[in-house]
Amino acid sequence: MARTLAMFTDTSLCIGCRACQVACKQWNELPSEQAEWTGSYQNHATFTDKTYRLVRFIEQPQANGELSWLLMSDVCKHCAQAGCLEACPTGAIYRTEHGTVNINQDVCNGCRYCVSSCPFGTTPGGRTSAPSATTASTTGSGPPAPRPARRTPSSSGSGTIW
Amino acid sequence: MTTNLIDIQHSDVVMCTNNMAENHPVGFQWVMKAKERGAKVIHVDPRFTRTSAVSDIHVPLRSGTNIAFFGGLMSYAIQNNLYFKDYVVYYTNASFLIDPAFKMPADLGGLFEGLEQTGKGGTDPHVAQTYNKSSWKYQLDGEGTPKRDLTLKDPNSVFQLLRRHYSRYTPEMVERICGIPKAKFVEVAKLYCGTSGREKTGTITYALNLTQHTNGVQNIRSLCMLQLLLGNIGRPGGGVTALRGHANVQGATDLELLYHELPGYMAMPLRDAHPDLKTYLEKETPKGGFWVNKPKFFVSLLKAFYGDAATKENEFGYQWLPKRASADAYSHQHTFVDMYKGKVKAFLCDGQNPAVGGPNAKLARAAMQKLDWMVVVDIFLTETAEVWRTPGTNPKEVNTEVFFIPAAPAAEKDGSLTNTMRLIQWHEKSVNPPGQVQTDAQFVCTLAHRLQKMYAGSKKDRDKGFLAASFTYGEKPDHPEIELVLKEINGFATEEIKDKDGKVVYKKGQPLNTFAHMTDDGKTAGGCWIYTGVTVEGADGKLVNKANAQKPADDKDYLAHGWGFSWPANRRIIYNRASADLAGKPWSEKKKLIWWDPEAPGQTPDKKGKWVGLDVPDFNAFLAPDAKGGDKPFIMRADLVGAFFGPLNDGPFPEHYEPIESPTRNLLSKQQNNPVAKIWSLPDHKNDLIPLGSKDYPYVITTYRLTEHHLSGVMSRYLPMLAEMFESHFAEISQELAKEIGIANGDKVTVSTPRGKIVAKAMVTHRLKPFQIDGKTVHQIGVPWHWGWKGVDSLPGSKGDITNNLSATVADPTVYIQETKAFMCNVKKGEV
Amino acid sequence: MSLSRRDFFRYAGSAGAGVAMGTATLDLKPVAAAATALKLKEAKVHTSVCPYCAVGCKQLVYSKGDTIIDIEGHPDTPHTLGKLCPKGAATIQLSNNALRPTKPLYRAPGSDKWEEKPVEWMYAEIAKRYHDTREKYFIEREKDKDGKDVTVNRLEAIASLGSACIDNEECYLLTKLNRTLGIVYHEHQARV
Repeated sequence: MARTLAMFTDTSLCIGCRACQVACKQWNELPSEQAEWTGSYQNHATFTDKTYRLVRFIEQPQANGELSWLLMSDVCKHCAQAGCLEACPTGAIYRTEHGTVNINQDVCNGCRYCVSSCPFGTTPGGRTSAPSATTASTTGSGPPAPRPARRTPSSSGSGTIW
Repeated sequence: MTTNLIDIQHSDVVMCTNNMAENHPVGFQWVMKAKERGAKVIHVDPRFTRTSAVSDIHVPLRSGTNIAFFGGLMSYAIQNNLYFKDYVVYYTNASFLIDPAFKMPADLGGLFEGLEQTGKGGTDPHVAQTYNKSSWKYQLDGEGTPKRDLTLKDPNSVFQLLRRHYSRYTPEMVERICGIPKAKFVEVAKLYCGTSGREKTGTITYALNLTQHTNGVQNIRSLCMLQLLLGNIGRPGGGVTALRGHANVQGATDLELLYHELPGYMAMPLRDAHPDLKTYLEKETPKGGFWVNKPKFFVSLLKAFYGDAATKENEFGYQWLPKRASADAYSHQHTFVDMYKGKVKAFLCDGQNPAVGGPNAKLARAAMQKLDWMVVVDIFLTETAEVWRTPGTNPKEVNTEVFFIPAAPAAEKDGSLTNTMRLIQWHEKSVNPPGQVQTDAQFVCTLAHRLQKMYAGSKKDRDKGFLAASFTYGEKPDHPEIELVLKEINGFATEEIKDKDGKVVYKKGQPLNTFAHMTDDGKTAGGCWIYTGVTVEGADGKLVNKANAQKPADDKDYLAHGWGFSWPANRRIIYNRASADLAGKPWSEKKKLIWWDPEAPGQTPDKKGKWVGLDVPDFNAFLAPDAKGGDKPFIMRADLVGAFFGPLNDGPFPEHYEPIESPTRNLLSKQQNNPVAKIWSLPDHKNDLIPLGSKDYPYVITTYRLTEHHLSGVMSRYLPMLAEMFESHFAEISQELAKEIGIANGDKVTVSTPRGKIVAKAMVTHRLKPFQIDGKTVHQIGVPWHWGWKGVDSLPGSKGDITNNLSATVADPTVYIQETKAFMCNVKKGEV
Repeated sequence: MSLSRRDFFRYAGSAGAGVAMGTATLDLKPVAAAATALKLKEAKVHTSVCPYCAVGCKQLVYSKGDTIIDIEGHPDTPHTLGKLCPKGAATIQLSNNALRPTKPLYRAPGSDKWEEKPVEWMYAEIAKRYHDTREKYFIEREKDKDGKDVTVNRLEAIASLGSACIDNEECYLLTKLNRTLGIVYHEHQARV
């Protein structure tokens, strides 16, 4: 098997600045989309088909009265043993020669089995036509409405400007 | 900043008093490097922010109480003998004796000696009263030298006055005023004062958290005094880390896009004080310190402005410069007050957005809607450019003519920018500006040439200066060769200059190597003396642009002297003489920076001895430690020592006063506010202020910035990649206050002051907590000010209400900066 | 051979002009191979400085023709070590942005819209406004505090604001223009 690569955040250093989130958009030429209200600086509840990298903000009051604010740049981990890849019924999810996990958009049918198979709550490879929580209400409750399948990263739609 | 971002890694304790991780994220990596090397990081901020998240200690401090905090630390250092004694005795004015007539707030209920009523009346304390500073002076001996007591015991010594003054700033008082629990304060005091002495250093960072107050200048003074007390200035890991906010606010400051000064920090003439050049130079040139050279810098500046038309015979064109009738005039806030009152008729707004970004934004917009005409130069159509169609305004009622010139960002032009550590760096033009987009240089030169054509042939004296000024640099008049402009800023010889042996030192037109070569006889011209050295002539006769130098750092040169050019003279850490003791040896081998090498070749072949080390000496390189002045690091001050006692408009020592709008009476003294703060009285309820104890506006509000947005939002809300980072404009509210007013995270709230109101989403958070001020609960909210009514149409989160509608027109008495970090407001659920 | 990000961007634009090369003696073959797979193949590269905050992160700007296609941190910068924050990472959208006006615009008194105007017309009209306002409101002389008549050469009717976002040379030119015209309301963002 090819040597696998992975990407992690050293959370002892992360200041949650979101340079990574923006750089990912910029390099991959991903369209922008209206953020969701999550109650914190985090601008999406989870990954979307336009947001592959998401910085998470978690306020954690401690027992001693002090506060921790957990900051982490979250992204697909490209697992050596990828649950999403094994769950995918269409074979859309594949491993590249670098060991990374990608999705072939033209094959994906938007079933979202991959999403529930990921132990980290990411959208595998970032490239899925699975629905996001973008259309959720402002208080974040209720199930997200499904999005049309077969959207590619470069397709334009509401909220995309490049 | 006096130091350098790279140097922060050498601190033993870093005290961030501003939100450094969020507003200077890339610079902040050096704080994390310090941490990696064992440093502790303290974050002092009313809010728990992304800086706090990675700091060792977060110190919640009520907005507007920084002097109480720093004063408490100074008091702690003095009471517990934690100050760096030798540094304080020899490198500061702590030992100097003060006129016994001088009295302090401890004796005078919060005031210094000399407060007088001016008889000019009115509600503006800045006009109604002033300090007569005649007692705020050193005792002098027969020769006019300040008397000193090196034992620091004389009751009139600056040190004993300092001790007495800050003895009122006990940990208990800090708890009562700032809301910092006493135990936490003492923990921080122990930790930070531990950076005193030879072996340890600490740096303190600050930004607008200290400047945007009516006590702003004194806030910063108290930080500097603490650093002097602990012996941290000029030493590795020490210094004052002033973190500026814009790509070129430092450059714009140095080149003086400021009403009160000319490039290189020289006063703009005042009609009554400076009727002619001779008087100006006499009054403005001190008797000691490096500024004794001011005439050379000032005359060289006049030569740069007026060229050959500036001669000895016509005072080098001095009379062509405008003279101010008053020092209390022309600042940003004065501008909009005078514009509203109809005194200012027209306006050039280049790369700034006062419709959103300045205090009392409603006033600013109303003022601009009264103008005859305005020119806006910017990358995008800003809220300022479109002030005539602000929501709620009927364009038919606005007669302002508006000329909009689209402008180019840095990637589309050549030029230099000066960052927060005084580093001048060059940027290259990558692509052409699209369409008819202009560079700002092109705009100024083209306008200047058109105007000069209209004034051509004028015999009026008032036009001669303008006609003499050259705006042509290179072959294409309207398209200046930017390196030639930088060369003029650097300075050059206006004619051949020979040394006393007749050898040619400079050819005509050759750039100067150092400001030490500037003259006051018209032989040199120079736009900004502190920049001299940024362009020099290479061996091949070509111009070498040091701003474009790109030699990386290495083990021998951690400060990277080969990268860019830092003023002055490529010195990276200023006051670095203070890193060595009286004999010229580093205070500690661990903290060495520069030192005296008695064997090094001297200035001339017959002499030996030179300052050497890891930085360019901010000192005469050949002045021996035991020579006169050889032990005095603070070369820009007339008395060459750091100042604890520093007579400013509002006092020689910082004293805690409450912000103009405050939730409490001043717990330290009877004097509620800065007695000479500047407060404008405006018609039409444009500047109504909240009285003390108001039940209508019970909460403290502070305004601030976020990492992902930029200032008034022009460079972020219009960029989809940044505009999508936040769902909407929001106000940060504590869990406790949210419960009190019945709101949940995500509810819309209305925040209001007598100046205006905004609607934003409530972000209910643990990161803000109420303060206990003298036993009472005081709630504080925080609102970022990036939003405006324009943005990306498909990203609703890019648009929002203008936070500065809430702030007032009040100012610090020395620099006239507004108080947007601490004022009062009300918060109600829903859109009220 | 492992490829650090620094090395990657140091060499990615090597087919084009402009960037100062590092001093490492790296075998270029695998680097070049990686670079050619990228959109940066055959891009020109220039150094720039981030236009946002005052850390002054240097940037590498990659362009093809007259379009910027990518902006990265300059890996050799001593005080940034090649990093950028989210604003620096977004710099490309200051140039590539549908919201940028590319023509001068004029708004007449009382009008509810912008009109496109030729550049020459703009400069002619703006110069005329400056000239006429200066002629109407210039204060050449006034009495000092002792009643003596002195030259003051002030133009108080025109205020100038900005900018902390323009280059040193541009700040100097604007200061020169304003001060030689007699303008005294002369400010920028440092004051707020």
